[in-house]
Amino acid sequence: MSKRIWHHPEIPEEDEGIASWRSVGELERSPAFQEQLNREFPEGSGHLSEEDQQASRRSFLKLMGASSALSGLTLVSCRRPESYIVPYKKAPEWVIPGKPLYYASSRPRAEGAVPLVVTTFEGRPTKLEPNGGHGEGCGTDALTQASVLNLYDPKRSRDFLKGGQKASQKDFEEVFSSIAQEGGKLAVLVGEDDCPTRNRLKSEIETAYPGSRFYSFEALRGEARREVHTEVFGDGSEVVVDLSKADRILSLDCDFLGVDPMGSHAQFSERRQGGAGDYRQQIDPEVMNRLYAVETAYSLTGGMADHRLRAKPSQIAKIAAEVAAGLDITVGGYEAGKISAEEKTALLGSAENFDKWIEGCVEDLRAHEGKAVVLAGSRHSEDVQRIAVAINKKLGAYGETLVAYATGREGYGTIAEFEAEVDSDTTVLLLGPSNPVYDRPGGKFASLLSKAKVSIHLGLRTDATARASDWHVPAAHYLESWGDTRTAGGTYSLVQPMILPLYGGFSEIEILSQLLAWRAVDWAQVDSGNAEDSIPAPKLIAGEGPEGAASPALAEVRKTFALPSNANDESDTAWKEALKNGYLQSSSYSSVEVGDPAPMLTARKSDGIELNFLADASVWDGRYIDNGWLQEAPDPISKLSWDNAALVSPKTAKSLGVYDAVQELEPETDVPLLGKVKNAPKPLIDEGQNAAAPMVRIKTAAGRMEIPVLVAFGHADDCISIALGYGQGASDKRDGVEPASEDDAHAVVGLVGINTGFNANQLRSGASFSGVAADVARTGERYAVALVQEHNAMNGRALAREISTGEVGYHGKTLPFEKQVAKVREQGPVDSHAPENISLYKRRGSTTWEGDKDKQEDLISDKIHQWGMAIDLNTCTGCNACLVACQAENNIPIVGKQQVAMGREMHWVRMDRYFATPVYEHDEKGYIKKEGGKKVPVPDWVKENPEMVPQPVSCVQCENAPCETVCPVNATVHTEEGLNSMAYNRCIGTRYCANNCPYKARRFNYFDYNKYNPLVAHNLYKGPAGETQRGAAPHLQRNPNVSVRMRGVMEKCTYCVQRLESAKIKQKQIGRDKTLRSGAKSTEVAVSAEDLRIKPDSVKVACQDACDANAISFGNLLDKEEAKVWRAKYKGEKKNDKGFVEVIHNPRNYDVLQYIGTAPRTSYLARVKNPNPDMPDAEYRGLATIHTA
Amino acid sequence: MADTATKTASEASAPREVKLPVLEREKLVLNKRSYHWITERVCGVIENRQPRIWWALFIPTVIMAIVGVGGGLIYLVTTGVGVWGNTNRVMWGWPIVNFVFWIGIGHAGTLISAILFLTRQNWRTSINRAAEAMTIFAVICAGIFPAFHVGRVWMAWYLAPIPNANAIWQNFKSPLLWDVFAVSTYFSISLVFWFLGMVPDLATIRDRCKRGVKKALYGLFSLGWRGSNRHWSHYEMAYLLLAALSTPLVLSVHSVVSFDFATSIVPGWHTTIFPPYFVAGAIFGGFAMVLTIMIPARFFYGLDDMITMKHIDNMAKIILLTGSIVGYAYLMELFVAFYSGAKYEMAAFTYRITGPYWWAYVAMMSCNVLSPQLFWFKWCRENLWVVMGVSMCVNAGMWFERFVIIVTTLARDFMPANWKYYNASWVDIGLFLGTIGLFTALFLLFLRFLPCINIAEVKWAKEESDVHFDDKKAHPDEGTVVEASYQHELEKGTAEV
Repeated sequence: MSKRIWHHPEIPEEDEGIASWRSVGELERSPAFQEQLNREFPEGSGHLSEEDQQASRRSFLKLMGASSALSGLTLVSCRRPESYIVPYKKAPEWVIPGKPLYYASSRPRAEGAVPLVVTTFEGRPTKLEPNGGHGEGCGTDALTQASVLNLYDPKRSRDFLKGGQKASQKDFEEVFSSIAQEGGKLAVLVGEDDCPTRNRLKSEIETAYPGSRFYSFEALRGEARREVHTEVFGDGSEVVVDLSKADRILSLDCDFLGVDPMGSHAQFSERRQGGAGDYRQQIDPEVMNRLYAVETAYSLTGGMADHRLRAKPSQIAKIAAEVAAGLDITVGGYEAGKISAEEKTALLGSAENFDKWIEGCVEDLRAHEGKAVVLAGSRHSEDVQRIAVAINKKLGAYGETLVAYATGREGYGTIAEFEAEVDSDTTVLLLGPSNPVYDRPGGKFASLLSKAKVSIHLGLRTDATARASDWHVPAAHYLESWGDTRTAGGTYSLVQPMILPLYGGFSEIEILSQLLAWRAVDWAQVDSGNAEDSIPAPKLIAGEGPEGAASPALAEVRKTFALPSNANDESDTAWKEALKNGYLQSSSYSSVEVGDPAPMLTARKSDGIELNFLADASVWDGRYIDNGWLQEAPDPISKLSWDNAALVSPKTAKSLGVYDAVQELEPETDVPLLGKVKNAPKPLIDEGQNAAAPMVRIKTAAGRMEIPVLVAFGHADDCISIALGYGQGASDKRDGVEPASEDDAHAVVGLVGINTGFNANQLRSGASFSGVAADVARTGERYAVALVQEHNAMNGRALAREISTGEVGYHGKTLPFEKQVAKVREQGPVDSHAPENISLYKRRGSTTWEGDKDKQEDLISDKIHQWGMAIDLNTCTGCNACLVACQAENNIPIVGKQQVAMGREMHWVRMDRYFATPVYEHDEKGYIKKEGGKKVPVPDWVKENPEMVPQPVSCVQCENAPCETVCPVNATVHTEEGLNSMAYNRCIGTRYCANNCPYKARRFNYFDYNKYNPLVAHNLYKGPAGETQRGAAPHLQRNPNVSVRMRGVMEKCTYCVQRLESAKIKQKQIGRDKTLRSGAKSTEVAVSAEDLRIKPDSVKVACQDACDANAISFGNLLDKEEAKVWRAKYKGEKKNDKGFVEVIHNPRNYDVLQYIGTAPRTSYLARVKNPNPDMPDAEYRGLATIHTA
Repeated sequence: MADTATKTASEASAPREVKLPVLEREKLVLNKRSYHWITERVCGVIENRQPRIWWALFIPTVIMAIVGVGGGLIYLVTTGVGVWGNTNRVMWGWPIVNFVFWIGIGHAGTLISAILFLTRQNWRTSINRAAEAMTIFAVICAGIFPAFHVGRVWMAWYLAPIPNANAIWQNFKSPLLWDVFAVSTYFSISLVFWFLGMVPDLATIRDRCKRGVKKALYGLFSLGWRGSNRHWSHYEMAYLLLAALSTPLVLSVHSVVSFDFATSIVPGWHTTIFPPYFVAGAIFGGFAMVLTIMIPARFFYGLDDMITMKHIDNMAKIILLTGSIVGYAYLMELFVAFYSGAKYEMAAFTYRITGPYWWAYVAMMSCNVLSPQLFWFKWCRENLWVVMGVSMCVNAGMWFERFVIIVTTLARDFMPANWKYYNASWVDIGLFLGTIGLFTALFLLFLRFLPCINIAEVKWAKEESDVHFDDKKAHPDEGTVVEASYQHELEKGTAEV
C-alpha cells in the first residue's frame, strides 16, 4: 500500500508579498462549512489541562515541539532522551508535521490593530508576521512579536478564582446566572482597542441590563488627551498621523516611532529615505522629512530627530506655547506661564539660542503649511494637547498630515467616570487588558471593587486586579479567540483562533455574548423538574461549544461582519474572503471636523526635581511582565534588561549625590607617557556581574519608593524618568510591591516577572504622567542591574555612520551633502586608509559573486543564490522588533537576569546603541579650533544632548570569515550560497570562533538554557540536580524547523537558513510543474538555473519581516537590480581597465570594520541627518562619526 | 648504608670557593664528592624516610588536587562551562590563561634536557631530571584546561583525526588543531625522553632494593638495564637522537600556542612578535619554576653539593636574559601598536595599561620585567631568599601575562557595545588551585619514588670522569690545587670499591 501523500497547499499567484497562508474559508466551500470550521483543529487540541497530560495531544505536541527538535542534537551526544512519538490516529487535514500553515489574524491593541499572518505548526501558532496590503503600512513591533509567547506562558491564568482562591467553573456559573437573572446594573470596563462586535454588544447589553454602562481604560493612554479629543473631535475620536505627507514634524515628547504610536510609521521611514525607499534612486535631501523632537528622556523618536531639545516635563507645554506664539496663535495664560530666561539658558546655553531654536522650528513649520505636523505625547497634559491641536489647525494639518477619525468607541465612559459611578448596586465586569488596581494611582481602585455588588475580572494573568476582584475568570489569548478589530486607520480586521484555548480561557466577546444569551434564558424552566419544559442549566462556553459546536463569539463576529457598515454582505463569500485576507479591504473610519481646541497654558512652577513616567518598551503598562523575551530584550535606550530604573542626566546624578562624578560619554584621561588618550574606564556602576546601581529613595506627595539610578545621556537635567509597569510582585522586600512567591500558582507574577523592577505608580498622585519629587536621597544600598550594553560611545570608531544634509567640515574641506555621501565608505580612522585587499591567491572579497563569466575566474559555487543583507541605519530606530522576531523564529532561549549581567545573553540580533557628540569645536574646514594652544570644547548644552544611533548587529556572514578558519573541527563552514553556517552537531564548543569574530555575533550555550529553567534561582548552577523544563508550555512555541541547541554549542544568525531552504524547495517544484505542463518525460525536461532561482525579494528573513521601518533588505544578490538588497548595496556595474566587471557601490553603503577584510555580506547604510541650517545646533548634528572620530 | 635522615646527616657544604684560578671552571660537584657519595645521596632521597615537610606538603596538595581538579571537573562536566566566568564577550578566560601558563612552565624541562645537552652544557646534569619531571607534570596540568574548556568534552574526540562515519576531517587551518598536535607531541616526546634518561638510574635503585614489589617495579621500568658497554652505547645514541628530536619542540610548542593568538584578527593578539616572545616567556617562566621547586628540594634533601650555587647562578642569569627579552617584547608590542597607526591596535594596548585591568598589566610588568633585573647583582643571585622571591614573582608574573593577553584583549575589542568586565568564578579559581595541588603532589611523588637527580650524568660531569683526565696535565702550572680525585676518600677508607 502506498503512503498517502499530503501536498502542501499551493501559493495562489495573486498572493504576493506574503509567502502564503490559508484560511478556513478557502479550504472548505461546502455547505457543511460551519462544521468544518470546528474541525479546523484536531480533536482536543485545545485542552491543556493537567488531567490529560499522558499520551494526549499535549504530550504529542510537547514531543514534536521540543524533543524531536532536540533529538538532532541529543542523538549524537551521549544522552538520548526517552521519547515516544505518537502518530496521528486520524490526521487532521492539511497538517503535515514540520510544514507550516499560515492564517490571517490580527492583534487588537489600543493604538490600532496589527494585522498578522500567523505561522502554525501542527496547530500550534509559533510566529507572527505582519499582514500588509491594506494600504495603511504595516510592520510589527517587539510587543506583537513577543505576544505569541504569552499564549504559552505557564503562568497564564487557568483557574477561576474567588477572592484570590481557586474556585470551580460551576460556582462561577451560579454567580453568572444570578447576574443574568437579575439583569441589574453593570459597569463593564474594557480596553481601548476598537472592537466592532463589542461595540454592537454594548448597546444590546445596555438594553438588556438597564442602567449599565461601558467604560474604556488603558493605563498608558493619557486621560487628558482623551478629554481634549472628546471635546475637540467628539466622543470616541482618534487622531492618526499620515507621515507620508509630513515634510516637517515636531514631536512634543511623542514617541510615535516607539511606545507612543499614532498610526503606522512605515511612511515615516519612506520619507526618511528621501525618495530612496526602495533604493531605486539616491537619497534626496529635498524630499527628506525633518523631525524636531522636544522630550525629557531619550526616546527612539528622539534618536531619529534632526533636532532634539531636552526639556523637563513641565517645560514641554511652555515650549509648545512658544511655538504656538511664534505661529501667532493666542494661547491663554501664555504671558503668565512663559518660559523664563533662566530656563532658556539652562536648556540651550543662552536665551538667544533658545529663541533661535524656536524661531528656526517655527519658520520651518510655517514654510511647510499643510505638510507639517505637531505630535503631542499621548501622556502629556491638557495644555500640551490643546496647543498641539491649535498648532496643527493653524498649520492646516488636519485632513492632510493628520486625520481625526470617529471610531466605534463612542459612548464609553472614562475610568474617572467608572470610579465615580460604581456603587453597591453595580456588578463590575473588568474585561480590559489593563490592571487598574496596579495602574491607577492612589491605590483606591481595590476598595472601589469591594464597594461593588460583585466584581468579575477577566484576564490572562492573575494580576493585582484579578486578586482584588471577587471573581477572576481566565481569559483566552487573542490567538485563541474569535473577534474583530480595527487598525489605526479603521480597516476592519478579523481575529481568528489558531488553537482552542490552552487553559480553557474565555474571550471578552464570549463573556458579553453569553451575558446576553443567559439573560434571554427562561430561568423558570431551568432544572424546573417539570419533565416537559425543563431545560438544563446553561454552561459557559469557552472556545468550543458542546459537541464541537463553534464558540458563540464566532456567530457574534459574523453578525457584526454582516452589518451594513462593514461588508453588507451576508454571503459566505465575503466572509471567507475577509477571513483569508485577515481584513476587509474597503473599510475605514470616517473623518470628523475639528472643533476649537482653546489653547491655554497653565502656569506651573518647575523648581525641584521633576518626575517623568514612561511607557516601557518591554513590559508596556505591565501586562507583559511575565513575558521572558520582552523582559530579556534590553530597553532600546538604557539597555537595561529585566528591570526598570530611575534615569537621570549625568549632571543631575552628580548633583543629587547619587554618583561622585559626572559620567562622561567619551572621557579623556591623562596617561603617563601617552598623554591624553580617549579612555574607556569602568562605568560608574562597574561592569558585568559587578554592575550595581545605587538606590535612591524618591518621595512625592503620593508616596515613596526605592529604585536604582542609571545615568542616561541626553536626559533633561533636574528630572527623573521612570518606566511604569514593573514591580508587580516580589519575593524580596520592595517598597509598594506585592509579595509573590515562585510556588504560588496564583501569585501576581510568575517566574519571569517576579522581582523585576520597581513600581513607579506609587509616586503618581493622579492620572498625570509627570510629577514633582519632594525628596530624593541615596539609601546607601546598591542594586544589581543587568545592562546589555555598558559602554555608550563609539570611542572614535566609525561603526554606525552618519552624515548630514548640511555642509560639514571634514579633513580640511567643506563637504556638501553629495560629497559626504561619497565619503561614507572612508569614514573612520582605519577604513579610510585601508589598502586594497591584494591577495596572492585568487580574487576574493565581497564582489566575488558578481563575476563576469567570460573574463574573470568565477569562484562562486552557487550561481543561483548568493544571499546578502543591507541594514539602513537611516530608518532603523532601534526598537527591538527584529531582536524579538529572531528569538521567536530561531528558538533562542532566555537566560535570566544574572546571566545577562555576566554577558551571556543569547540574542542573535544584538541591538547596539551609541551616543555621540562632538567634543571640540571645529572650524568650517573641519579642523579643531584652538585658542591659546588649547582645543576649544563644544558648549555643555551640545555635549549634554548627544546624538543616538542604533545599530543592529547579528552575524554579517563574512565571505572571508575569521571564525571559519579557526574552528578546529570544521563546525562552522561556508555554504555555497554565501552563508556562514553552523553545524551544531559538529560543534564541540572551543569558542575560538567567537573570540575571532570582530563583530562578536556568536552566542555560546554556557548552560542548557533550554533544558534547565534559568529563572529558578541558581538552577543553572545545579547541573543535573536542577529543575528541568523540557516539555514545558513555552516549548510549544518552538519552531520545529530550527534545532534547539544544547549546552556547549555555539550558535548565531544564519540568515534564517530554514526559510531560505524551504523557499528553494518550493521553487524546485518548478521541475515537476514544467514536466506536467509539457507532458514530456521528466528526464527530458530541462530545468535551468533561472528556473531554480527564487523570485526576487520573495523570501523574507524573520528580522526583515518584523521591521516596521523596512530598514532591513535581504535577498539574492544574483538578482542584481531586481533585488532591493542589491540596489541598497550597489548602483550599477562597470568594466574596469582589465576588462573585469566591477560593481559601483551605493555610496551610502559600507561594511563595518571593512579594513579587516572580512568582506561581510551584511552591510549598513549610513544614517542621514537633515538639520535645519537656521537652528543653533545645526552645526553639531549629523556628525556622530565625523567629528567624534 | 644510606643516612637515616637525609638532611641532618649531610655534611655542611664548604663555602663556595671564592678565589678560583684563572680560567678555572667552577666544579659542578662540590666538596670532591665521590661517585659513591652521589649514588648514596640521590638514592637516599628515595630510600630514606621522607622529611616531615614532605608530608606537610603532600597531604594538602593531594586534597587540593582531588577537590580542585577532581571535584571541579565533575561539576564542570555535569553542569556546563557556564560554571566558569567566561561570557559571550570574553569567551576564553582563566582556563586558557592557565593552559598557557602551565604549558609555559613545561618549557624549561626540554630546554635543559635537550638544548643544553646538545650544546654540552654539563651543568644541566643535576637539574635536568627534576626539570623534565616538572615538564611532564606541567603539561598534564596544562592539558586539563583545553580538554575540558570545550563545551562538549564528550565530543572532544572530534579533534582527533580518526576516520569516522561523518567523513568530516578536522580543519587543518585552525591553530587550535595545531595546538592539539603540538602539545600531544611535546608531551609524548618529553615523557619518552624523561623515562629513557632515567633507565640507568632506575637500574641503580633496583639493584639496591630488597626483593619485593618495589624491586619488581623498578626492575620492570629499568628495562633489564645491566650497564654493559653495549647498553651504554645504544643508550647514548638514543638519548642524543631524542635530544635532537625534542630540540625543535622547545621552539615549536609555545610558538604554536602563540599562534592561537597571533593568527587571529583580534587587536592585541594579532602580532608577529608572539612566537619568539612566547618561547622566551616560556623559558623564563619555566626556569623560574625550576628554581621555585629545586631550591627547597636542594635544601631539604641536602643536595647542595650537586645543585650548587653555580647552577642557581646560571639559572638566574637565564631568567635575567629571558626576562629582558620578554620585557623588550612588551615594549616592542607597544611601539609597534603605536607605530602601526592602527586605531584598534593602539586602543587595545592603551586599554591594557589604562583600562579596567590595569592592575594585571602592572603586576605583569613589575613581576616579569622589573623583578628579574635584580639578577644583575651578584649578591642577589647568591642570596637564595632573593632568588626564591624573584622566581615566585616571575611565576605570578607569567600568569598575569597570559591574563593580560587573553582577558583584557577580549574585554575591549572592536565594538564598544560588547565591552564588559570579566570575573572568574570560584570554579575557575578552584580548578587552578587544584592544578597547583596536582602539580605539587605529582612532583612530591616524583621525589619520593624516582631519582630526582641524574646519577649517571652527574658522575660524567665530574672532571675525573673524562677519559683524558690527567690532573697534572690539566694543571701544568704549579701552585694549583692538585685534584686528588676520589683518592682522598679511598684513603679515608670510606669508599666502597
